Amino acid sequence: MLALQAAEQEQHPELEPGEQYIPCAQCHQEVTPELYTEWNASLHGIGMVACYQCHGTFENFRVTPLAQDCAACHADRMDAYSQDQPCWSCHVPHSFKAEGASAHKKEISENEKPAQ
Amino acid sequence: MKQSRRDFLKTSAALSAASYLGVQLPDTVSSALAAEGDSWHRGTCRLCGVGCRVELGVRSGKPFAIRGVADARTNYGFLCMKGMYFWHCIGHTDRLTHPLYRAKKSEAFKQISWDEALDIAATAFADVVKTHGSDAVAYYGSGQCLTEETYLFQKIMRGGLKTNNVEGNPRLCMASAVGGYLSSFGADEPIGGYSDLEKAHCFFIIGSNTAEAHPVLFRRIMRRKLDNPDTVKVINADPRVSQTSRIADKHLQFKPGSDLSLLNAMAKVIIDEKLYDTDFLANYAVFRQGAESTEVTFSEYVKFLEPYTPEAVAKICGGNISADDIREVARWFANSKGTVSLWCMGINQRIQGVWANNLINNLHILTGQLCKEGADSLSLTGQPNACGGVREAGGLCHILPGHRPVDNEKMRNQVEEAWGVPIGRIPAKPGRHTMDMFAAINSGAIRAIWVNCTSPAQSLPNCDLYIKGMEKDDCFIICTDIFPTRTTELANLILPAAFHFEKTGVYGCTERRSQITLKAVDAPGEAKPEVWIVREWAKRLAVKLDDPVIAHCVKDFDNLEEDYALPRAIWDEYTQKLTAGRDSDLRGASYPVLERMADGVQWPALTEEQALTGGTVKKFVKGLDPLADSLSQNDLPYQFYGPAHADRKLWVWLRAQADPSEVPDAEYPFYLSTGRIIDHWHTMSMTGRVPELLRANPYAHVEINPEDAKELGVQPGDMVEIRSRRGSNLLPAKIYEGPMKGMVFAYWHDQEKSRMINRVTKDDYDPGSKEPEFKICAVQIRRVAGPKPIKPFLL
Amino acid sequence: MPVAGAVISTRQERAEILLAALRACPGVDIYGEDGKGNIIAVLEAASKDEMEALVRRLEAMDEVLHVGITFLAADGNSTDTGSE
Repeated sequence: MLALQAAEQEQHPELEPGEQYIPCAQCHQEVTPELYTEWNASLHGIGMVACYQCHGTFENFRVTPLAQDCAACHADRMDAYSQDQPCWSCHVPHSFKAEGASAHKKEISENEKPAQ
Repeated sequence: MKQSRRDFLKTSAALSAASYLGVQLPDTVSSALAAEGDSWHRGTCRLCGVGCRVELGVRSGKPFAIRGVADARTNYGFLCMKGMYFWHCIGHTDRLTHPLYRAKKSEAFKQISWDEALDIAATAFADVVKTHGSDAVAYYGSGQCLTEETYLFQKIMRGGLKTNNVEGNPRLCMASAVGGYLSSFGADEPIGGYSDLEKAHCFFIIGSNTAEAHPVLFRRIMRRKLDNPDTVKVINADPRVSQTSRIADKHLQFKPGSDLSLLNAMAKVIIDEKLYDTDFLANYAVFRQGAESTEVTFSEYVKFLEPYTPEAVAKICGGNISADDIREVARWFANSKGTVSLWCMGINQRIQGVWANNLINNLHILTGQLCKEGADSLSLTGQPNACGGVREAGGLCHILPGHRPVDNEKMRNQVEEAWGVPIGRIPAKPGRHTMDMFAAINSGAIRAIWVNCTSPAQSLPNCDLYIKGMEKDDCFIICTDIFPTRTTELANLILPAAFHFEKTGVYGCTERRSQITLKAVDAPGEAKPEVWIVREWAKRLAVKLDDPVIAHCVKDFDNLEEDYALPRAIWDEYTQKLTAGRDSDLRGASYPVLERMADGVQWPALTEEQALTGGTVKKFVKGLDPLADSLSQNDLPYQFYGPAHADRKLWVWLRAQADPSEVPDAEYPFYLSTGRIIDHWHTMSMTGRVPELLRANPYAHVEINPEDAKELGVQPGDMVEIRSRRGSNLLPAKIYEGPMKGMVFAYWHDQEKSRMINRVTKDDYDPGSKEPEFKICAVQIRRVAGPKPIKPFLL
Repeated sequence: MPVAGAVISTRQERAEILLAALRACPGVDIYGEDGKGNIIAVLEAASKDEMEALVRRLEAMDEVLHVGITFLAADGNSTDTGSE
């Protein structure tokens, strides 16, 4: 299990065990509709990166993902990461579009060119 | 920070060696207070056929994280959620850790030693061979076994026990693709590969929900499309709207089974509008028909296509298809600078699976959308090692390692010589294919079977029928697995296997690329790598059957330590002796070479030099494929030297529409199709044990079209009975389009009996590929009750 | 349970390959290398006999030129806890 970063992490509201079997997106479509819509339209949404991949499940839930959650797929982008400037300071959730000059040293590969 | 005496000693030991060399060690080690170092171990993901490369983070001998390998040409560092979490199976408390045995299936399992277990395994098989003959035993393996495991098992079965009863679950998913490639191109596996995705201008995705079944490949297609919204076209053909449809310019929904007509109609448009590549056809193709592969002329092909006008076919297909749609997608296909087709179970798991494959390949041959950048006919492989292990290393009843047909004497002799076994040792006839094998258990013709890394009790179509046979004491069942499953439930002997990263070996993925995973952590309890299990079993078989040839089959592997030296020796024998001179030549891909690479090697790769570049990106192309150069017979740039086509041509097949074996009627008015969701793998014995994945999709649903739901009075969450001529399920309903009207779609991962959809599916199979038609059968649907609280179920 | 410090030597150009192979070996932890083909490793085994067998296995590996033991503790008992 991943260690939580600090006590300031919010806990997910408590759910009955049966309710825990409802997929995150299903509830959040109603509970946080703008967030859901933003995520669903983003590359993460179309690419089916699920909520729990960044936020964990109930026992290890984190509102703010850990750096290593991003690193699982984006390890080669961690050169620009620091405690003061985590990934999401430029890549605003949940569309994750970044604006302005890139903080990354490494050139983006042909495979990853951003949408025009 | 606490540090044990052991830690202190280890640090001292490291420092002593370092100071001997005059080397400064990193701070984390030099400091006596340091935690043990994290190490990262490279390998391939355990699941799906994409072949994502990963690194497993290990700390104090236990895995703690995973990350993608950014330089790998399969995934470029990306992972899906299954790749992110599968490593939680390492060290899971449910792991099988000791051999378990019961003489009768009514008894409880008893824990026994490996010594006893191997003896029992050898005795069981030896007794059956002595009493009933070699063909009364069988091996049923998996596209998830390492190549070394599949290769060694089939060597013992064929060279040792003299039976070709060697099969694997790829028979249930990829056999039609194999048959399609062999009959269309003369050789198995794609001509191109993933590198074509970034160069393609048209994607034709049919019978595949790539977004959920091959997510990391879908990511590449998605980027290509979204980065080039106007110049790249995506066609998605599927009776069901899926997550893949989100990026489609056109989604074609057609009645299940009518896709043969759709593909022929596209061909007709290509012919009528003269969109075919005359030169390519003249240089490289012939037209063939019928069981005798009779050659016919281009005019005869044109005549054959006459009934398949877009107007007529739009009527046959129904759904949302118009004649204009057919014309438009055919033009996109033909005119694009490079078209990649991708397909999976929707095309393969069919009574006409081989024909459907041929018809897709036809479109590429007609338009010359082959061999050039951005163009390929790319069959998506479901499992991580169906290609490398089962298709290439002899894991099906009719093929020997190195793409050699069993029924060819010269091929058998080559293998016999390579193995040093007497000529004539390998039986001349293919063994029983999968459905036949399990029918033979029912009939008593097979009395001992080894099931390795798969769960046929859940994954066979019409599974209840075959469970009947497996339940009986007449058939001795050995299972090697990591968790209890619906199949270990029916076993006599359960042998605990080492999991991925707990053992070393190679997986070969969709695009002909072999990639290595090195052992990173110890297996729990007494779990052992399969290569060790097979070797030790074979040695005992040799004694019990008094047959030194069996011992000879493992002679070169004896006394090798099992974590590295043993799999490496097996891989060396397979690649150096069995793939040499074949189209799947992997001689350059030795362990040292594979270990140096971020990803792996696409065959053919005859030398280390070729292998280190990554191998052959495009088969048959001079300058890219060493065999196209060495086997060249003329000045043409493409040389189709595939072993199955003596004429070295691509074959355009005249294949007529042929309906599924069971279609809806008055009594069973709905189509049932089955498939996957992104969070789960197969029978969920692995993914179901990861809380994140389980909660995402805790149990199977049936998707019902909103119009049908209205007529049936079904609301979201209602309990619905699905009944076929074979069995029934009770599933909660998801109202969603989803399936087209008149069709329902059920997920097949659930282990719970009332939600195990293979109790309902049909076991008729393609006469050519022997692959069952999981994708289409006829069912009744009725609402039984309102929503009920459901608990997920795991054995 | 013995613990040993070892320098495992190979030809410089083969070091990468040997490192990969050693990482797969149970009982072998890699701590570094000097860039000249000498690898710093710590070996652990359950008994004296098994330590000897491990060293022999390493010496028998294709790429290994030499295994030099620089440190050997006979009883690295992991249940002992030392001071900080």
